[in-house]
Amino acid sequence: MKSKILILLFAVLSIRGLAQQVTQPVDIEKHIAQILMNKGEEADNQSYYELLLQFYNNPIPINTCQPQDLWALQLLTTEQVKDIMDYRKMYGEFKNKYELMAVSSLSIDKIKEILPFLSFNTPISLTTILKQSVTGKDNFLLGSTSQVLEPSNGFLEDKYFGDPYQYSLRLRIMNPGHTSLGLTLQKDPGELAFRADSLYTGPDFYSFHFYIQNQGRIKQLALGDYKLQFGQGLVLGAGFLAGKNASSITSLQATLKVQPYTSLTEYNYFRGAGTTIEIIKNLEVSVFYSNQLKDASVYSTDSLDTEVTSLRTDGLHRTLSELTAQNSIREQVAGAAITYSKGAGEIGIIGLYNSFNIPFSPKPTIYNLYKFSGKENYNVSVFGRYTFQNVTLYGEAAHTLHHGSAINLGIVSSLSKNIDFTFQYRYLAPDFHSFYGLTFAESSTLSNEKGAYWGMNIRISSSLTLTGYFDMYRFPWLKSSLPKPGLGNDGLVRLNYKYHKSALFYLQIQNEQNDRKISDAIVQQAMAHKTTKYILNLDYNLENPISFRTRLQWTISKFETEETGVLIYQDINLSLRKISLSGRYSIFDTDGYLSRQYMYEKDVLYAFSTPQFSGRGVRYYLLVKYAPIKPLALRAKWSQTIYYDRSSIGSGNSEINGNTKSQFTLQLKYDF
Amino acid sequence: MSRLIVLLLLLLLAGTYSYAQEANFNGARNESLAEATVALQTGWSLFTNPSGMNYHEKVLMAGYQSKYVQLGIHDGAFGFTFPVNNTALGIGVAYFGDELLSKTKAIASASHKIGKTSLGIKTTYEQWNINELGSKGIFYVDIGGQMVITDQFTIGMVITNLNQAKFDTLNYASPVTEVKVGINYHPHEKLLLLAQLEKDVSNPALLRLGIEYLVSPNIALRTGILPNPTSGFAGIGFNWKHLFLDLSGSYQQNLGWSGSISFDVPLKKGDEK
Repeated sequence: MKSKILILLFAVLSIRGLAQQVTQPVDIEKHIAQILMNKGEEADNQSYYELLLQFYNNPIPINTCQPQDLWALQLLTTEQVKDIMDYRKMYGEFKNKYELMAVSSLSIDKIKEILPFLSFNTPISLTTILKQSVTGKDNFLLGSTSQVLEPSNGFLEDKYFGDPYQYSLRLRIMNPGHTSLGLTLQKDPGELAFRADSLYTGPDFYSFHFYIQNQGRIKQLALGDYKLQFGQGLVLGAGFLAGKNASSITSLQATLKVQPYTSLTEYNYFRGAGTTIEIIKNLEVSVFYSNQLKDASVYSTDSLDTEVTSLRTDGLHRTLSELTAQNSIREQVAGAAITYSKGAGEIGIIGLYNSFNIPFSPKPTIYNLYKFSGKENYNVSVFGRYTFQNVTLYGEAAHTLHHGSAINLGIVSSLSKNIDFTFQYRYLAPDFHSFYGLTFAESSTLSNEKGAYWGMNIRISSSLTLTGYFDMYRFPWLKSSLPKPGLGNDGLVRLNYKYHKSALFYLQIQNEQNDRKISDAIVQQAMAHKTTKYILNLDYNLENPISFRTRLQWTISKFETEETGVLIYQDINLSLRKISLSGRYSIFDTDGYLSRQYMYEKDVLYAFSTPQFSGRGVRYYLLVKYAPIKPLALRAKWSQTIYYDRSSIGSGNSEINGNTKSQFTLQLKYDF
Repeated sequence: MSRLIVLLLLLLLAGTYSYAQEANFNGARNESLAEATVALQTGWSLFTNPSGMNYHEKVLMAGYQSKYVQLGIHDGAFGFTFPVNNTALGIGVAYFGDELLSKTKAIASASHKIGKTSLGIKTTYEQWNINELGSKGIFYVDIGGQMVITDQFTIGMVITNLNQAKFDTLNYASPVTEVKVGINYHPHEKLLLLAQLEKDVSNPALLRLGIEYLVSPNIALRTGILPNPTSGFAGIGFNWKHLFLDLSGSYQQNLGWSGSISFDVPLKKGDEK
């Protein structure tokens, strides 16, 4: 105890600077944006953004949490998690945030990074909670609109029923750690804001949730729209998956159980109720039920029955066929999960039942042989995780009744203070059917894949980091895009160099090879497609109000012909007291589609764009944030792409006549 | 020093990959480290890089591999090395194949150590037997060197078939002349990272990477990768009263699974008499 007081005293006295920094209120948007920038752009930014927001809303109780809870943040190494746990074991509870400074492997920057996602508080009473659910602490109203100025064929030929504007409105009333209340409305360009006809009456997309947590035995309760995350996501994956990326050590997922749904994505959520209840200490049961209408093209068979081939997941309802498909099939989901967690381990089981009111009948082609058919689907799954010293083992095994199985096993370890390592194996049978799963894999279909992944992260010195991964995979059965079972591999290495706090340089090389269908072959064939991508990136003047980024991307693609693609851009960011500006000018030149270039763009809040470019042209944007008075923030983005090698952009209904595409977005946020 | 490893790793990755010759079986430990082992010191260096042989103890080793289990190919090796002052000598035999086609090798290696550097030579007589066509033999020489740069870094190098021996017929079966360069990084006593680059005249460069981690003083876990031809390797090693038993499994994307087992027994120096 004595030593604890000493450590505490030392910590508090010695690092006054931190005290000042951490007591300042956090601008969570800016904070997360910074983390994303450090993580690298290959990460699935939207889902990771939502994951961090989730943790901000539901902070990890540092004094009662388990190692895996801290792991789930994907910001700490095994070594750092272990040190936090060891400290707590040795000296007891963390009295406050300053005590974190006594954990040797946590730097001040790291503490600042994780602090908004941790809680040191004890629970508060239900009456206070209910009162706060109305008043809230972190509330906002957010309205956005955007438009592509050049009309596409869909508008010119009157194929789209709605106007060319995109609108969205979000209301959130939240009390981080306790309650959240949210309402979302959205319409895409070409959609009707409010539809009223014999098939459907209501706004194009709406979402509502009321969420409460940590009330006695009720650990979580969600009404309205919610999502579920258990184990490695084979059966229930809420979309928080960093996937393969340059930070490479992110194959592991956390069991977050029931979480509110807040996204604008118009699929992959549950509508109904879900709850997690603590039965006895360490043992929790989650039960959930969902009933909602989904989009699907319904066909009549010869015997006048109806059937669908697959669900539509793009959420677009602009044309007659899209409007007919809207809300045309009813899905009910019911299930339960039991989780037992103690110390460094967690184990659980899941049972899930899906039913549709119209049967699925995929097109009778050979690649659809193992696809889901019929009206009902049952999944069961077992998952677990255990941390021993510096090693975390995790896994999930799932099975679709009367069909195939899936497995995901892995290990994450800090091999030394400066070296992290991960290995993961997955097998997803061609006839494994999971409608709400999301797991670490090459393809997003969650079936028909076998693979192994190695990732490593070496901190050579405080300024130099080397990261890399290698993934080898196989598709045991055919796909619509692959006329034979296929093979592939993907390797990446990235060297980061940080010069003090003012500049960040990295060089990244990625080599990918996979089987691809040959176009225009009389007999369908596949051959290997090899791609090598180079990225050279420099961020500089970071500590100043004006900062810069220079980027060069270079791709060489070898398939039927050899292609080269280049993209160069320059960013300028200006940050003043009430106004901040971000601008980019880029030039792209690619021989074709296979050497296309992707780039992550800054956007208005909660919007994420990683557009792709092929051909020859320039693209620029300007993003402005203006916060004239405290609760109000205005954001606007203007972007334009000008092609030099074509007279029309896109195809079909989205084709634009002319070589220019311009978009304007306006967003207003009001905090209260 | 750290700059060197970074440059080397980048250099390794920047190279394009190719289907070079399949590696021979050199024990389950080497196998599970993706054969990225020219900078490693072990009894099995007799077969890979003679300069890595043991200068302190006699070592007896034997191993078996079922290579590409579905194809039914067998690999076996047996060897013995012994030190004489700062010199290590070794002899061994290796077998590869099935009843239709097989290859047998007789190997004699010698190496000498001066300070932190060691240099070695390996001589091989290789005989191919092809059912109904008879057999043919060839003699070739490999040389190798290793250098301990710091406690954490060792580099190794091998040039195979230095005398450029060739079969006059059966040309495809001739041993290749290639250069292998590897680096071992030993950040602490439990961890070993290995990287190796190989290049022969007619094929693009080949990269191999391996990791060995001691979960306890007597149990080692290993894994390795060979990006092209795409292969993954894993293995476990046990040290039971100074008897080293290694198991390994590997998967090559086109040819499937292989499994191997091997052991080495270092005999105490006292046995030398």
